[in-house]
Amino acid sequence: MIRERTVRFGKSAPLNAVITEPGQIDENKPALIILNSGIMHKIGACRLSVKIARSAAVAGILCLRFDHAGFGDSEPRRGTAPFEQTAPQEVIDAMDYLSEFKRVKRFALYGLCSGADMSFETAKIDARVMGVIQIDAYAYRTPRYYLYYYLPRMMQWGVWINFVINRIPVILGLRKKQTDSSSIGEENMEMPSYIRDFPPQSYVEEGVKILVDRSVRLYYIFTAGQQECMNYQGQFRDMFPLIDFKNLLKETYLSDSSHIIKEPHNQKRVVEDIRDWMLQAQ
Amino acid sequence: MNPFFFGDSHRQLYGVYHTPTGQPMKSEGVLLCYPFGQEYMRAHRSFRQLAMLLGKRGYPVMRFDYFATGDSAGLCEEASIPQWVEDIHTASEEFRYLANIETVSLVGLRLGAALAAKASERQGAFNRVVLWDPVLSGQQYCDEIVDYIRYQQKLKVLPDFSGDFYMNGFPLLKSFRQEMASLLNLDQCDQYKANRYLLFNSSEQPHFSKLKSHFEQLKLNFESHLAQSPGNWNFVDNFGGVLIPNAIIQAIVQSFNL
Repeated sequence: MIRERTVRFGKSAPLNAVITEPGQIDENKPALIILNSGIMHKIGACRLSVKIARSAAVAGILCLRFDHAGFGDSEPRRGTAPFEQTAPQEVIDAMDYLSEFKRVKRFALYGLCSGADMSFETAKIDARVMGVIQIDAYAYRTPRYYLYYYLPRMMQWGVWINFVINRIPVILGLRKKQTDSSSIGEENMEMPSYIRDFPPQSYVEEGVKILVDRSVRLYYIFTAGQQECMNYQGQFRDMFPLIDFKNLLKETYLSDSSHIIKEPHNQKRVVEDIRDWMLQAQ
Repeated sequence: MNPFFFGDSHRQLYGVYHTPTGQPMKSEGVLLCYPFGQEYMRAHRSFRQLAMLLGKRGYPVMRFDYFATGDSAGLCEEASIPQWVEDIHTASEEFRYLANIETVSLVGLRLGAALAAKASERQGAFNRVVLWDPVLSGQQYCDEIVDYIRYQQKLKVLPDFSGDFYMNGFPLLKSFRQEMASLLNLDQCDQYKANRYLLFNSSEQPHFSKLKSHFEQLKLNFESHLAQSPGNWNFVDNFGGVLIPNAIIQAIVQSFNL
């Protein structure tokens, strides 16, 4: 029997969260902290974060889902510090809260998209993090990526016809590239303040190395929604050939999944895989 | 913003109470009724904005997640229209107690508007009911969703939509759709019992005129407003951009001055 309660924590900004508790909390097991995905509130895209937390709690894992300052049901933070600076501190606040009130000593962090980025950044600076689950994390093309990308296309007549009709005039400067223009004015939209520019690959490599050296377990899930830079199972390992991941890395590529994992079968798989990974990671 | 769980502990609902920041505090509270599925995801921020603006005018505001949605208990597949209508009454009772108010008004968006209208069939339950781009009929809403899926997936061969299916990750089970079709028909119901109905549309659409005529025939205390704004609540992008149609939000807030 699991139980859910609202909690509030945070030193520099009050952050609202839902804690999902298993029937019995084992202080020696790591707790799972679930971060916001983009600007979406703490239930996650298609309610995925709720499903992950409840499934993990049924398996005995304590979970906390929270809204970063200014997101969802948390008040905005005062000051001008950018999200990439404040977010890791807020995750640390979440760990401090669980350490103080639930006596948990180790943590796994979960995030999708910007949540993946902030999980990674926090894990680098806080030794209490024993595992990181990142969906559509930073990714970089490899030689095999290009092979899988271009080979099927070269076999299709339609691609060549499109290239001749549409791309060559652009390359020759005879026509401007068409851009997507939204019909919705900016005044009616709110976009994430965090602009997701992938850092240089060497920066991520350095971070991954820090985590591996600390024996942090890594679970990377990639979707076809990020196929502009990722398109096969095992690409993450190929990105960093100089890193000896030992047995710390698990990788999954969901070739038929959207970025926000809206397909029911992919949601089910992600929920179950994360629960199982958490149980094994203990 | 004060989040809390309320209701039956086995079926607990998640609510957020916004204490009024403006003076004087009004004796009327505003309960916000979310839309469904992706529309809910995309509207969450707008509801927070609406709550904040109403709070500045002295109104206590509460928003909440229906059972099986958002942070509330329950699986997505357990969604039920009668349950959600009942959830509005449960939330309203909690709100009255929490804010120490006697009068509650509703603001509902899309399916939330249809649910609010349905909930207002109970005598003496609500003062005003604001219907924001309402879903007029459950059947029409389901048809729109099927059309949207066909368009979104560029389907040439039409699959069978008579059973259970999903829309942007949210289930639309057959039983749920049947409930929508049979229970939500705003332009046929004649049991509206709130003191006042306000229709806010983001664009001119023929079916809103139909609802307007129906309300006029019923001789309800009713008014209609057009506030041109974007209203595509089902759109999904990869960046998590949310829609905040300021013109219609401002118009709704203004209406609470009257």
